[in-house]
Amino acid sequence: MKLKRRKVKRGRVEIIPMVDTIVILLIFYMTFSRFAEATREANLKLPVSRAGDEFKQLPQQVIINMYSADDITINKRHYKVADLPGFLSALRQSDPKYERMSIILRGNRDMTYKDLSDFMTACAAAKITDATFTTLDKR
Amino acid sequence: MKLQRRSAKRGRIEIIPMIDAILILLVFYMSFSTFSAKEKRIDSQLPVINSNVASTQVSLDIVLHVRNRDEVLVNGARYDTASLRDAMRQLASIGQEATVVIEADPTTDYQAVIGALDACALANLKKVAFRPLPDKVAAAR
Repeated sequence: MKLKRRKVKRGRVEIIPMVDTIVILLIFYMTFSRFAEATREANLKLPVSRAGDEFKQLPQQVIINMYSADDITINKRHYKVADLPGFLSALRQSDPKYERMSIILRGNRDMTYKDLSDFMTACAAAKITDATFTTLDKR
Repeated sequence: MKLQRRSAKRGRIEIIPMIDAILILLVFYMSFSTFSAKEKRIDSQLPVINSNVASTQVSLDIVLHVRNRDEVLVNGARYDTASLRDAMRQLASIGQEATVVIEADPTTDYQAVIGALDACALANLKKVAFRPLPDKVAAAR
C-alpha cells in the first residue's frame, strides 16, 4: 500500500496582529519611561508662568519637590526643611559632580512665602546660591 | 448560455481589529493628556548668608514687595499683575543690569511670588534675587 504523505503546514508570520502588539508595547514604554523619572512628583501643583525656558536638568542639579516646609521630597524620600542643610552638604561630599551643586525647586503653588524663605535659608546654610524654579506653561 | 450570477460580497465590520484600534487610541490620548501641561524653568539667585556682610550681597536697585497675586509694590508704588509687567519692562528699558530683589509677606502664596519673578523674566531682567524673611518673623510659627 502506498502511504500518502501528510501535507506540511507552513508557518507564517501574521503581520497585522504583530504591528498591533508592537504599537501597544511602544506606547506602553513611551508612557512609563516618563513615569520612571521618580525625582519629579506628578501630583504637585506647580505655579504657572508665561516666561521661562524649556525644562532641563543638569548633572549637578538636584530636584527638590516641596509641598510645605515640613513636607519636602527628594528622590521619593521625605524631609523637613531643617534636614536640608545636612542632607545637601552630605550629598555634595559624596559625589564630585555635586561640587558646584544647584537646585531645581518644584514648589506647590499654595505654599507660603514663609515656607520658601525657610527653604532659601536652608539652601544658603548649605552654600547653594543658584536656584531654578519650575513652573507650568500658562496657555 | 446561462450566465451565473456573481455572489455579492456582504460588507461586515471586523470587531477584533476595531477593538485593537480603539484601545490604541484610548491609551494614546490617556497618556498624552497627562503631559499636555509643559514644565518650564526660571533661573534665579538665592540669598547668601555670611556673618560679615548683610544677608544679601546684591545691590538693592529694584525692590518688589509681593503682598498677594493682585498687589505688588515696586519701590513703594502699587501695581497689579498686568501693570507690573509693563512697569518691569519700563524699568528694564532704563537699564537691564538693574538688580531686582523680591520679598513678600509671610502668608503670601508661592504663585504670587512666581508671578513677580515671571514679570521680571518677561522684561528680560536677569539679575533677580530673593530676600528671606527677617529671623524674628521666620522664627514665629
